[in-house]
Amino acid sequence: MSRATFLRLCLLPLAAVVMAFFVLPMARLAIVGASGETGLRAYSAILLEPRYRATLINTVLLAAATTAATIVIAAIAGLFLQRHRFPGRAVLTAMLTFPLAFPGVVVGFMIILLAGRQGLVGDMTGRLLGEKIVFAYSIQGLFLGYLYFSIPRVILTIMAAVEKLDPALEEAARALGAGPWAVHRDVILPALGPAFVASSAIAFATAMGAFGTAFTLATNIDVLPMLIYTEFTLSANITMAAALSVGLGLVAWVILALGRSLSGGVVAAAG
Amino acid sequence: MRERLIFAGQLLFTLLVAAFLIVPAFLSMLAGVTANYFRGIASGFTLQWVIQVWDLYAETIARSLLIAVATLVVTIVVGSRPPMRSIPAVGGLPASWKR
Repeated sequence: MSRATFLRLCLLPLAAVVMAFFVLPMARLAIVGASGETGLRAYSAILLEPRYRATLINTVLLAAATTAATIVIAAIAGLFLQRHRFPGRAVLTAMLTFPLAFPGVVVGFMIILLAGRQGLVGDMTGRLLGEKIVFAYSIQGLFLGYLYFSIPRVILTIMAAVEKLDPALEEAARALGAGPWAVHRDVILPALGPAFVASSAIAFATAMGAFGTAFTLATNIDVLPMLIYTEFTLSANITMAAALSVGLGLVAWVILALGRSLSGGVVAAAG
Repeated sequence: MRERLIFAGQLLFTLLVAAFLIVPAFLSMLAGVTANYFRGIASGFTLQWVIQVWDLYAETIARSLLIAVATLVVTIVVGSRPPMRSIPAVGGLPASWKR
């Protein structure tokens, strides 16, 4: 067997798995979505049906808000952790990446412990203000839950990018008289641009499709993964569920592809 | 002075973020060993919930571990491919370019 043949054979398991668990199910999903009474119109219903459209807009806005907040928080914390050496730094970094271990349902449960009826926030506000603040089951609770699992991922990406920055550029800027703000604005943040784009794309796509957290918290709010779930369990509307799934997948895929092309292919490495 | 203020501000911010990420996890662990969650930690600590979970769900936990290991094996087999650039058929460099 020649070397080239051997190398090609090594791709066989990948090809088989991608075919069986990705290409075929996706194709089937797309066909099911168009196989209902309305045919292909099931896809246009995502945008034309008010309830579906409202849910789509809701989900996109929530994912965008999560992404924006995550990037700001992770940029500040990530720059700080990578730039300073102090006792307890390793512990702090470990704490910030700790939530990576939890599935979405557990994250939802933790938000309930934090902001639910028996939660810490309710307890404290109850004592301080005489009125319990409960927001676990609202869009703010969901936002907090999504922040909870996107912050660790983005912090890791940003810390890795900060480590790779060329210190000579900053020194040059400083030598030319730039203050700390100017150095950050004109040198560090632009240099981190690709990392921001890449991690935004991942945070956005994850927040679009996160089911576990939505399942525990979104009892009164409509987000796309929950809508898909209720369409095919409660309403037994398999066609619409499939069409919505394809729509959700398409939005997430476009965002990831955009992130990939704008950041020069770091997205795959980070995901 | 200014440097120290910035450092302190950033440290405080990072600590707050860490608290946001750790406190709920700590709360859930605490809830797991609290005798009566609705009465709070004043009701005392107990391991009875942990033991009950183990009795009821030991098999479930084992099954989750099994699935995780199986996934790991498949991922390693599928992911262990030679670098793409060494395969001309999938867009590698022409042989003459190689050292």
